[in-house]
Amino acid sequence: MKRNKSAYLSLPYIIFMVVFTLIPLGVVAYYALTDPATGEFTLDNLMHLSEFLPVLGQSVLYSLVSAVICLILGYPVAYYIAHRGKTAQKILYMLIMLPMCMSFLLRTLAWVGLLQDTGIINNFLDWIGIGRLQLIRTPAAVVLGMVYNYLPYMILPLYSIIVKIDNRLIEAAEDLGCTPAQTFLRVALPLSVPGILSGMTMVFVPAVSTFYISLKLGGPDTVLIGDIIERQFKQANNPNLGAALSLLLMVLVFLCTGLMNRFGGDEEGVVV
Amino acid sequence: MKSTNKFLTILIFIFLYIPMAVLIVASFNSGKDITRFEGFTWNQYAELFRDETLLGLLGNSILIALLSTGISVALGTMAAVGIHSLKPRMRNFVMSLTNIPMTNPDIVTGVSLSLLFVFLGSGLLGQRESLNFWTLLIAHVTFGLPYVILNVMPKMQQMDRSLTDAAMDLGCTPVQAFFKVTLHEIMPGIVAGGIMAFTMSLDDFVISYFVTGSGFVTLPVEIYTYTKKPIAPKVYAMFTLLFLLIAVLMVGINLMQLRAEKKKLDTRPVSKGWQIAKRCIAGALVLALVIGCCWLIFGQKRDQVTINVYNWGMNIADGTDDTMDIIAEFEERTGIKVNYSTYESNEVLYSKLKNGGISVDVIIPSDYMIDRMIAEDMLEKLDYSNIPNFEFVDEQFKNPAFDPTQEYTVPYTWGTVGILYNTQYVDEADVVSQGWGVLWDEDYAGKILMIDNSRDALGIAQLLLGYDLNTMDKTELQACADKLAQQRPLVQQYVMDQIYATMQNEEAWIAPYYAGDCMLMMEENENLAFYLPEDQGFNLFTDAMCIPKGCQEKAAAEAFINFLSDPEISGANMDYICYASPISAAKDYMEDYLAESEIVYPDDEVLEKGTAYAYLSEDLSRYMENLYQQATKISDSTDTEQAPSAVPYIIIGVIFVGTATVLMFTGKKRRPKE
Amino acid sequence: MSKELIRLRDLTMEFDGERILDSINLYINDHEFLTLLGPSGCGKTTTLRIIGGFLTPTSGTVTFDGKCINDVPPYDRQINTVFQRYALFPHLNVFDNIAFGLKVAKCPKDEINERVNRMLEIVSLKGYGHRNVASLSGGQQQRVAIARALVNEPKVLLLDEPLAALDLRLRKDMQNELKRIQRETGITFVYVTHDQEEALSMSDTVVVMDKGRIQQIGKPEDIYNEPKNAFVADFIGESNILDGTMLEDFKVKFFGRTFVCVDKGFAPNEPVDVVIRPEDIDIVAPEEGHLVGTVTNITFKGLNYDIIVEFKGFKWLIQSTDYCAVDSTIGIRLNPEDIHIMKKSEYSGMFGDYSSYSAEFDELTEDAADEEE
Repeated sequence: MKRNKSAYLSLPYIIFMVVFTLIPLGVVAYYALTDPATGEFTLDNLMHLSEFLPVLGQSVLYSLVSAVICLILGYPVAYYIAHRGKTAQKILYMLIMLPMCMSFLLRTLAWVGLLQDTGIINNFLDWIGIGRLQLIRTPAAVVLGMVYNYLPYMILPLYSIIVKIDNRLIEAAEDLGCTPAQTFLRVALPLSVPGILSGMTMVFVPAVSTFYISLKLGGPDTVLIGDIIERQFKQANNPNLGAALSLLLMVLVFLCTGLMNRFGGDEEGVVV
Repeated sequence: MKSTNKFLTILIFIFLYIPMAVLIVASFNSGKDITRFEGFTWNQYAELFRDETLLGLLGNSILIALLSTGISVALGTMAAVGIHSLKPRMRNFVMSLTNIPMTNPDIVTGVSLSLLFVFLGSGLLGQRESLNFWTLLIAHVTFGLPYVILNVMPKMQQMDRSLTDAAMDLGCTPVQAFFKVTLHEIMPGIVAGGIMAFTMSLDDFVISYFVTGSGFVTLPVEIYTYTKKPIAPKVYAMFTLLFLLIAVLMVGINLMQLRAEKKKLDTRPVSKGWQIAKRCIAGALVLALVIGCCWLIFGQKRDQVTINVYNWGMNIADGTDDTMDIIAEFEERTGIKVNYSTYESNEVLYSKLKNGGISVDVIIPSDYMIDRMIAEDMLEKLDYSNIPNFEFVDEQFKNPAFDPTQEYTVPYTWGTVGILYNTQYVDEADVVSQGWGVLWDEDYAGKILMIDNSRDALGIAQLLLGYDLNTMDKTELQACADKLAQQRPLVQQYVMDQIYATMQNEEAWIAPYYAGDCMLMMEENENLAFYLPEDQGFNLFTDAMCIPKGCQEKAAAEAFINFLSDPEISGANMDYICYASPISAAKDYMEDYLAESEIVYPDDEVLEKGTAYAYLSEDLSRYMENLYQQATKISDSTDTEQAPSAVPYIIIGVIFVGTATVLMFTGKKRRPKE
Repeated sequence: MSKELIRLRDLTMEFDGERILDSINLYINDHEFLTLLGPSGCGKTTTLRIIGGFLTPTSGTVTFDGKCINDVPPYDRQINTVFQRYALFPHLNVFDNIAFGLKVAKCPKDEINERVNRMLEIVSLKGYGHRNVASLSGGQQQRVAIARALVNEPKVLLLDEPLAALDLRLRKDMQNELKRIQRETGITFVYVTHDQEEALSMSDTVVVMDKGRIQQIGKPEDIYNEPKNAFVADFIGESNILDGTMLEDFKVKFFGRTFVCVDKGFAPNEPVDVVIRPEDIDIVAPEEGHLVGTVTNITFKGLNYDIIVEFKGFKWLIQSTDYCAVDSTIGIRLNPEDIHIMKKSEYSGMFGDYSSYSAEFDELTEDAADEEE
């Protein structure tokens, strides 16, 4: 009885979240289903979406590639950190966190300075006689930007899972005759699946919806769905189409995360 | 294996920190270009501390972060306590609600909130400014709350429930029990959640970008605008200082945690000094919050008149390069405060006014956009008796086509759109012989910039194909779009303000742009030259000052317009922005090279060949925007690379089918959690 | 005896339609040491929490000093609790933990100091005041928990399995300690445990509970010697429980034989449960015994042997200091006072058969029961 009373404490929160997360999604749906000029009900915006499927596909492709690269790069790092002493772990963890706190706009801009035709890397290559390469405005540059920006989102959840793996299990596997490689494949890797899934989600979702990275590091051929959405709101004055695109993106993301959650059981995404 | 891991880890850390190192080095660079180190200097830091705008923006960011964190922590902690005692079904619902902002892409959250605010504010409540400080605060609370909840909930679950029972048993009321016992237990969660909410809020760009109105802007959003223009190195100085500050904070927090862990097993008494220090920090935070709130509620001087001015980027003299700081001068002379912000194109301005729910008092759109705004009843009529300086405006600029009755506008600048090119790489003969066609020249593939707005881009194609700039023929427009699609493989980027950085550091060689801006860039890089294809025709534009509907300080806005129309001021302004003033008298106050420049003031016979844009129709505007996007943004199936374009379809297909199957055939196994 | 302090009247408790307590009627006297004894899930902790005020009964009343206190919140009751896992506040040191209640009640500082220090002495933790509670051993934490409750000088102290987390030696010491404290302070103790030995050795009154109902209330000796039904007989100590028929007063028939007993008041030929405690059975030579059986198992238990003997297909447990070889044939004798007759109840036939006896198995289940709590 007392317990029910304290349940009322969550009421302001529930109201807040309903008003500012659930209802806005409804408003998005409303805009997606109305005509920009007349405000009448229409399916036109949704019909238009098919035109943007190649862009969406490209976004998904790039962000999946980024997520996989992040996993390949991030796993050894997380593994390494998780097997340090307590103080070293804290310091390394902090060093991974630190870039996340800094303006990602400026950090991406620094990559522009590094990669552009007249940038630091090309100046250097030119100086040692290799000559300038096309680095920026390529799909690789966009993927690099995504990997750079979202790698910490992969490392941190992986780390929190790996660090919890009981070392006795590793020892048991070794005791039972596993080589280090077998131990890794048969014990450590399966046990870190929740971390892998949550890391993949945490990289994929922001990567698939980014618009700044492709704007700065990409060229006309690497337009992503985020760029298109941004344009509808900020320049084209077509919020209705923008809303329809957002809806599409949201459905895609929820399907993907739903899928990952299925595979991962109900291990909640590791936040810290 | 271990040494490989170590090696890789070191490489990754280098990878993560290189860009930051670049920025930090750039903050000590005496030159402006991030790629070339020209000498060590502390000047950027001095500049930073002189720049009130930048510090003000940082202050705004910190204020929003503090307030939103405070609210998130209070609301979230309350909620976590409540959720804990909810019935399981309700609890699941609330937790999925909490997960929405966590899983939703930021851009969708931003878009949905901005649509909600505009829908509620402008649509239902009829507010003049539906995006403001409060909406920004709400947005930040929305994405901060889940971090608090997700950090506090586990602490709540871990807590021995009999602790609260024990407190009540010992005479505490439930409220006392919460503050004396529960709060201490969940404090680590609250602190962790609060810190995450704070850093997320401080650095948030995407969501803020969509819910920011005109009045209150945070640092990341403004940095976004900065990164389009050549960025002032003092921004790097700020980055460096913030980097140091956050690093110190993180080290401090880590030390505190280590200390707390040690303390747990310590048999010695807890030191009083430490407790007092902790109280002091908490007190300081609360004080900062309270002061912030007070500043918000009472601090903004109510008696001072403030006007919001919304102008093109790089379109007013700001005091750099020995020019006059026009806004400071105006504020000093009249005592009216000016909130100044910028847009990139007429379309951006229109979108903002129409949907952004912003409140501005003075805008400076171009001819065809003014036409449209008048047609859509978006502008206030001016009281010309408040603008005596209007008399200085040349006769030829009075009663223009876009405002034939001269009721809504006062001209600000006029100019042409021409071709800017780098003489080092681009053969002048190519430019002269091909005119606009040089933008389609395959020799310069990858080095061509194209202007990123539908009207100007299609306009160039129209000129090249010999159509009228104001054609309403859809087949002609379609042909123009095809022409742009043809150009796309050659284009390096579609840009607006970004042209400055790219052309100046010679990343791109050739671009169409507005004459005044071209002059500015030519001042920075002497290799740049300007060409006006007289024979093919060109766009002749006028930007004029107007007051949009809903303006609250009309008299002050008119005072500002009058001030800018003063020949002396106009001249000083043109010195910086390099455009032509519609006030001939201003030439006397301009530097001679500008007043005599043919780029700024082309001969009358040249001007004859220029055409002004006229507003066509809303339907046609939309049609042109769609054509433009199709041609320039979306991969064309006629592209040479046909094989790769199938891959995305397959991926999407697989994802959808896979998800559907999995969703259908597996019921979610729910482990009973207790 | 002394006056009545607490009375539970028709107390019923339901959670989500499940009946946890079924019309509990009980009174607790002043200065009494009363124990609620039963297996886990029997409702003893629920009863305690109702008395403490942490739960409100679905129906029925709790009266304290003659006044109904159903609606009085825990912080307004003159009752304090020692929680199962102590529930010491981790952010406070020992002194502040004990002083917590006094501070909430806004006692003057001097008085707090004096009372807390006296309490520390009583629980033999003098000089530990500044220590962090996490740095204390289990027994020490236990003492702090008791001190924290007692310092408020409550009328009643509720103890919810306070010794469950301690090891055997410490538990024995603490039992004596608790009894001493109770005697010295004269505070009424309501003690919850599932350990029958603990209950019997400490209490003035034992309340045996099962399935939300009180099975028997009485002095420890009465409970042991005169169990009311098969459940109590089995739960309190070991018992062999047999089906029998009460022929008439003082005459009972089981295993086809008529025995003389000391019970009366049953209907003629009424079917009854016959309880025989394993330690009451005398082993004699086969020819001298009332019954003759074969030894199937013998386990050394330290004080005695546990001997399983089969009589006509029914296995008995006998505790004896004499060793009997497996497969040997022995006789037993039953004196009238060793035979205890109970009315048939819902528990009849569920307990008291040692057919599946296994020493290890027994220990295992006991451990499992401990962990469940």
